[in-house]
Amino acid sequence: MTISYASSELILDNLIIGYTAPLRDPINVQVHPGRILGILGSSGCGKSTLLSTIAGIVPALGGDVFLDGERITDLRIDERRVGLVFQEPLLFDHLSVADNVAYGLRRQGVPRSQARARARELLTWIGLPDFDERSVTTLSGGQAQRIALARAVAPAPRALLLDEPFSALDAPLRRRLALETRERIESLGIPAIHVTHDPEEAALICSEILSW
Amino acid sequence: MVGAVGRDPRTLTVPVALRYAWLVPAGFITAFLLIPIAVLIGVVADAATLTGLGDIGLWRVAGLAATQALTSVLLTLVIGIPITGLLYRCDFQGRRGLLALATVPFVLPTVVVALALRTLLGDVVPQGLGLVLIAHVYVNLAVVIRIVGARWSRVDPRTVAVARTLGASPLTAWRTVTVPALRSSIGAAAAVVFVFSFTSLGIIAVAGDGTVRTLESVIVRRTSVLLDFPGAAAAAFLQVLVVTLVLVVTVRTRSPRTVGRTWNPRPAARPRTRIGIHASAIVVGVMLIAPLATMALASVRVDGAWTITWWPELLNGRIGVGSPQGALIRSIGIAVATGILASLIGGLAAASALAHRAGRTVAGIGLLPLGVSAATLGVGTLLAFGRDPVDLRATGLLIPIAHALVAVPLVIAVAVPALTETSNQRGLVAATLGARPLRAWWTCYGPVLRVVMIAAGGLAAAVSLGEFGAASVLARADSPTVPVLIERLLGRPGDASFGVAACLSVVLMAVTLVLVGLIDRLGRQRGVPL
Amino acid sequence: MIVRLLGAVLCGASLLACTSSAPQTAEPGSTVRLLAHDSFLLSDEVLASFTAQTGIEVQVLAGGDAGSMVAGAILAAGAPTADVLFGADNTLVQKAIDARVFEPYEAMERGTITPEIADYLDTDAVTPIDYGDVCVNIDDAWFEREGITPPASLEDLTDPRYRDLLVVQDPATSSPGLAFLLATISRFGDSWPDYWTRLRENGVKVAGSWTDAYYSDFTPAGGERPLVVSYATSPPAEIVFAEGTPPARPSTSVLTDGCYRQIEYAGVLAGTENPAGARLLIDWLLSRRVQEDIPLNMFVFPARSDAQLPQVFTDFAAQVEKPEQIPADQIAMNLDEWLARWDEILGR
Repeated sequence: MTISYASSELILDNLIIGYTAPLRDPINVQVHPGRILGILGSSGCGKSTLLSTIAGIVPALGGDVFLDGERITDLRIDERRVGLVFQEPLLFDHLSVADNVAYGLRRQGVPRSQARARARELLTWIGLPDFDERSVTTLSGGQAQRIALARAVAPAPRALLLDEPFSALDAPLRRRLALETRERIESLGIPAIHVTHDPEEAALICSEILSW
Repeated sequence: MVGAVGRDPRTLTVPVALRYAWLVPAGFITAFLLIPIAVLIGVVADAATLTGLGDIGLWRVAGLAATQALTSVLLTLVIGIPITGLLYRCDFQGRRGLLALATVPFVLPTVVVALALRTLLGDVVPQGLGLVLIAHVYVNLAVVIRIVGARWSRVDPRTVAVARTLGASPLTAWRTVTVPALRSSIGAAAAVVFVFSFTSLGIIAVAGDGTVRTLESVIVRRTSVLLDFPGAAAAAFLQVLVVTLVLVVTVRTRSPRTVGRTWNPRPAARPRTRIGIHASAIVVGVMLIAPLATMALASVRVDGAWTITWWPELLNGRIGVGSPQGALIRSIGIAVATGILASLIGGLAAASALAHRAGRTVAGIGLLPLGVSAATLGVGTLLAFGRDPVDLRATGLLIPIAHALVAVPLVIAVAVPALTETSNQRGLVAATLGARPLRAWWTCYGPVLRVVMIAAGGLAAAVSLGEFGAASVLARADSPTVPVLIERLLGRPGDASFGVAACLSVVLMAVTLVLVGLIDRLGRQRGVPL
Repeated sequence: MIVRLLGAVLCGASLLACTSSAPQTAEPGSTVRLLAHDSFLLSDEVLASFTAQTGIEVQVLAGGDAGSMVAGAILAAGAPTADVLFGADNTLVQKAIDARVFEPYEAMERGTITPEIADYLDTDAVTPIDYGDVCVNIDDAWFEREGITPPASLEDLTDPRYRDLLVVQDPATSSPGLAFLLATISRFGDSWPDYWTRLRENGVKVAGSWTDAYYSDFTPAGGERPLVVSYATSPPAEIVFAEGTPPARPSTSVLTDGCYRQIEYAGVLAGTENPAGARLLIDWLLSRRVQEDIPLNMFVFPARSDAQLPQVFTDFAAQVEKPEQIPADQIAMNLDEWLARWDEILGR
């Protein structure tokens, strides 16, 4: 099954990140649709802050973020349509697997039955069909992380941000999931940024790598 | 899967000593709660009690009190939850001070709080249901803030961020992600606030206008005005029934707790948000402090002029009804005894709740004193242990015992979650290294238990400092506790009496504030959620 | 030995008649426990004098307010938590007597009690110790300022001239409030509900407690009501409790019509461990020394007719000629109904 979204481009233009003081020099980056930019660095170098800034959780101290030609620097988080996956799956405990995946579609006003149907498609896409009614507390780490990816992808984001999504998993699973994810993002045709401290993982998943 | 198994406390061998530890709290509760109540029932209940239960008027009071309590719950939640969010999810200067401050009204004598609110708002809100509701909200804010806040600080802020990136507005994210995560804690807080408002007495007396009633005020009216004991027993019975029902429902519906780290709030990034947070903090601070400040002001004012005449009276004690200095020393002594007793009993109850089914039942029963009025408990205690053959009066232990009973539910409420959320992996490691079960258990839970017991003991001490109902029945006339002395002073004519009462209230507030601040700090330093 | 000797010396010197017929079996060095309500107060020296005279320690136990205390005593009847109870007033005492709370004892100097006080309750179960009158108090300064003549009778209070001027207390939560209700029942008999209906129509305010009424609603305290239900002894209390230089005379006075007389009793608790000491304590409460100490501590009148009143009492306390009273047994029988009816009339 192929699922793909309209192509768009992610541009960071002289972006300054940080909470109160700049963490780094202005960042200039361009990520093309279907490409995955890897950012490799040790903890504290601002990798996560960068993703939070692109997603709109942390305001930019300067510069701009462009997505699909639109300046999104001042948009609210929920208006940006940027998918985000963290190290932990952070699934919503009180919802079933299908409702987790359908969450973003529901926020766009898609009726529940339609949203759940679409969620089932995505569950098949990530290789977990028949998981829709499962409680999220019964999942293994790898299953949960794949569902987190499906959830991020469901509302058709214009870009995807991955914050060490596999680092909590053991090595063989981490490799497998990394390859899978790369394949899926490429098939989606949206730009993605993947941050990690693990060079092997970065090499495995990313189209190009920036070392911080 | 190792992680999942490792979290299960049952995989750690339960030390034999602990398997029977529940006997101690069970014995304490039986001796000092169930026996006094049984003795009281034996003395007063007769056929007329049953007839009394058929009294329509009584059920109407129960209905009105339930409506009042539900309204109090609703208002406390509506006001308390945003404040909880502010205190636990936003970082700003003075956050911890505000948190401690919010706890003070809860442990102050209700009479003092109600009086302060009446003095402050009397011109705007006349005595009656409105003022009673305001007072209930003010006193119970701490319950909502502490219970819901403990849960809220475990909600990973990134979960909310994820919801936002999926297109949820702040409000939608709050409704669809945060609220469901907080639901069980909101339920628990609501139940406690309901019980406190439903059984309210001091606030009803001072802030009410005589038309607002609770079963508790009916009990007092029937015992001490009409001397109608069977009738009072009927009201007491109905009250215990309602409270037990509420507690059982709450305990039943409590969802399993999630284990997780505590997320400290971070300073807001956007200047506009920062300004908003500080403005809200100032509003909340003023709201919390204004009634307390009214009392502080009353301690240095007479007839519209400044004065310091009342403060030296605390040391001189020429006020006739008992020496303030003596009362302070006595109250602190009782508070220390209560703290030790309550933390031992509550700590054992919590530990055995972890180890044994009977222990979990005991921990549940330990919540029961919430619903038994302190005055009823006081009279029962006096009948059971204040005369031959068991006269404990001379030992001076009666008040600490009664206070410990009142405080044990709070200790359990603090200790059980902290212990169940402690991973037992350290204990397993110790066991594999050859530690005997008790040693392994202590290695695992000891550090947490020690902190929890100190903190819970402190909380119990704070409750004891402000407790009035039981102390008023059990104290000797020549040796009142501080709240009893305050109450006596307020009932006496003269600016001096009122002034000294205000001074004593200020001292109580200050001691409570320091105590609560220290507890918070201890919990923070040791990384134990309190 | 020394204590006993000292006791004998003081006994001889004191005004207490230590006649040989007193039950002298009480053991010096023992303790007698006095259960009293929160308003009980005597000077420290006077309290100490009992021990000095008899060698018996007194331990004062708090019973809360008078009602709670009597309630506790009834619940513990026969196996008391103290030896002597002080402070059951005439609205409460009958139920306590009926519940066999007390062991009969006729105080040595019962004969010295003012006859009207002694005659109210014909029993030796309890001994009257003090009495006070609950009356409407008037803020004279306010009436003078407004140029209105103060009311002179209970009936006047329903006069539209005095509309919205009176504050009373809830009889269910306040002892003077209850006394005032009883005064109106005593005065108007079966038509008391009509009187209260008129009071309500004339804008009477109901406060929860005496403290609230006197210290919040009463005009001298900054309130809006120049008429308040209080005590005949409130004006002297005003002088005694004044801060700084006391005023030459009180700014308030007492409406001596329709006052209700409250009598406070003491009794030996049945089943006491120290009956002899308990009896000595009752005698001592009725001694002149204690009786003369009572007015300025509790602001009530001593039961003993020959007790000297302090100057401030003789000057400013209202002497009520014809107080209202209702027999104790009638109160015990009807109180519940009266309170319910009162609630109804006041729309509560």
